[in-house]
Amino acid sequence: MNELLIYLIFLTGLFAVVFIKNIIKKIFGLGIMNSAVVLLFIVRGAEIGESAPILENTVYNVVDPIPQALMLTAIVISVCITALALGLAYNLYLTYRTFDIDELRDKIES
Amino acid sequence: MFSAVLLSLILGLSILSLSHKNLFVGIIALSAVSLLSALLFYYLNAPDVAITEAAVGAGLSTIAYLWVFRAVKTLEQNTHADN
Amino acid sequence: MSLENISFLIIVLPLFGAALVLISRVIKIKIIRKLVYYLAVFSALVLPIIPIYITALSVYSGNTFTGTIGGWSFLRGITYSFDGLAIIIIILGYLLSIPAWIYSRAIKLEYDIFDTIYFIQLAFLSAFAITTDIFNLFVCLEVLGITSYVLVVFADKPHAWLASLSYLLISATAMLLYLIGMYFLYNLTGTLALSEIASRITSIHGNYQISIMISATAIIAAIALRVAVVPVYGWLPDAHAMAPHPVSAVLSGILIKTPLFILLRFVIILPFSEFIGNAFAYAGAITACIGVILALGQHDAKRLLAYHSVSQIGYVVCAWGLALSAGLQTLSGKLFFTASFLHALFHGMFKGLLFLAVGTVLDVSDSRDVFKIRNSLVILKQKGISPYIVLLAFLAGAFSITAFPPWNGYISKNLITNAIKSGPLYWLLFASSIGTVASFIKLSQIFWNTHDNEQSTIIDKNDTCSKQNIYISIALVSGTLFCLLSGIGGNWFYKTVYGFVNSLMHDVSYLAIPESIYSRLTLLKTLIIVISGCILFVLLQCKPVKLLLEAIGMRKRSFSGLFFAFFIAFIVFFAYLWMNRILV
Repeated sequence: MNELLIYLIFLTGLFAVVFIKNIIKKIFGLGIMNSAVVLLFIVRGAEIGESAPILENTVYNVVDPIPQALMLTAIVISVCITALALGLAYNLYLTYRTFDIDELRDKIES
Repeated sequence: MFSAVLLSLILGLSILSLSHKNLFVGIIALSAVSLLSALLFYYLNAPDVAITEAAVGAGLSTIAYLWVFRAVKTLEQNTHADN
Repeated sequence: MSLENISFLIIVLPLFGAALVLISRVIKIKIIRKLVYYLAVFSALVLPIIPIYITALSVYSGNTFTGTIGGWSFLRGITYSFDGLAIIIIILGYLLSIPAWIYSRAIKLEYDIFDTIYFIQLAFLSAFAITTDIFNLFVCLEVLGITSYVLVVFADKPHAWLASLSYLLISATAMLLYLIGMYFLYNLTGTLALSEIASRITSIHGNYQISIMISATAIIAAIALRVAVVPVYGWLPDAHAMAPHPVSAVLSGILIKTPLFILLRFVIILPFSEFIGNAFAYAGAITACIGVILALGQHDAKRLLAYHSVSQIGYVVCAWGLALSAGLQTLSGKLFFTASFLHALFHGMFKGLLFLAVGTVLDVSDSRDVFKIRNSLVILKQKGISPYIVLLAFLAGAFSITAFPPWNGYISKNLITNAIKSGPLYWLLFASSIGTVASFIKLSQIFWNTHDNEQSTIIDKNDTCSKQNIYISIALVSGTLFCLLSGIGGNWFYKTVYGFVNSLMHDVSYLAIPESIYSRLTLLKTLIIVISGCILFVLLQCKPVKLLLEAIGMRKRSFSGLFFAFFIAFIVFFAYLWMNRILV
């Protein structure tokens, strides 16, 4: 059930990246897809334990810490990409006053 | 159960952010998606990821989006003023 | 200092250089600022040669070393391995980056920021080469990706922005698929280190094999996108054609090949690697052909070169796939792999050289159209750039890419085709060679002289121009020398690369280049290719053929098309693996 919902979220983002013409919405889609992937790892990692992976003597039965460590990196990378893509989109808007990717291509190639 | 409810909310909000005409609503909905996932991470015993997602996903990238949104708004107003 | 610490300097020094460049920006006193800047460049580009040399010697004598960073166990730590594969990729990177960097001084850029990004890319190239765990492969791929999106944007024109944005969107999506693939793999094996996955994956049977196939497909498709194999090459021509010339040289020379060779680390651990090799061999040969056909229809000179990059990477991918399907432990597998790497290295040299030479011409003339640029030699002279060096560099690149002896392309292309011997792959590559000859005759038109409209001979030489000329000349002459020397000394290159490839299999023995390379038959084949290329060029002047090719080459590309191609590749590849599982 949870995994199904996560895949649906991923597909929503993918749909936006492929089909919506607006560049900003495409970047939204990238962010949503990234959230879905992070959710996937964390939800799966949480299935094997029931306390946070902070190592102290009284804590045992922790969740899998590796997916968490990986996802910290993935979140930071995603923000870098979002910021870069927004910068590019803004520069394009500055010159052509549109966010529509097909319109942009037509205007640039003509 | 709690996670399923949160996930459905996230799904709904992400669809809203993509389908709404107003970009500002989209940005806020996306920020809410990040915050809700942060809540879910906390619930799933991943406090470090939750903090990062709230600070970076909900905070930093929302600021970036809003900056572009504001810049675009001022540009549009300037062109209207010119016309 | 132990040998391992010295080897890590290969990665640390360029990063240190990148930081120093940024520091130099805030220093107020001019002399100190310059000093810090030169120190940064020195430590990023020149100093790493020493640790590379030391590590290479050690690896070449069969002493590869692997380990985990911080002394953690193999299951949790970050694992690395300085082996033959890593060393040849690092050498490839440095060999091509230095001339391209020298050339970059000749064009207008924000040097500090450009250098920072460039050095970070160099550092992560080495990191990418040594990492042997699947998550760090992801991180390095992402960093290489982000740096290349930024480097493309340095061209500072709208077309480059859009090209970079499309590249970013598709490649970021592919990387998320990579993460999902990694998720399945981690679920099944519980580890991220490739060596551990390899030992656990063999015990997985039944329906779980489908999971492995899905994850393998996702990871391989994401990396294949970076390599620009058919059908996922669509982003490349835009990005490579629009980037600044030295960046085009680096992207075409280094960045599309490293993911392919590093993919080897992942693919050899899979139980069905020979099927994947077969698929890649055919995809590569088709890529070689399609790249040339599209190149023949181009008007834009740099875009034409970019399509040739697609075509030449097809050769590399084809030989790489055959190496994998023969198995790297067999002799023929090693020979194919050596040929594949040599072509990657030599292609990096001559394609870099071509991008720089043609880019120089494009900068001084006001058009990018192959059919409109004429009298380049005269124009170059007017702008204060030595015309004959540019012409020489262009000819060196063109002779290399068309496999003309004694230039280096002759060695590597014939190594690949001689090893294939016959069959559909051979003829596909043969056809692609003919197309390449025709296409470069077409491109060489930019140097032809037309006497009907004499240019006004205003000489606006000034100081900046002569300085610019020095940088361009150094880069072009060193590239030309590379192409010539590696062509003449092909045997030495072959022996060295073979030694490194062999060390991957924990074996120390060396092999001289096969004598069939210089045999009469191979020379005859080259002659046939060149003559048919000339005939093809004449045929292409006919109106209907030309129009048809242009219709194919200049067809309207859409952004979603990139994605559809990617998904089709994904589904076809998965279906292929699945069919093979049923048949076996």
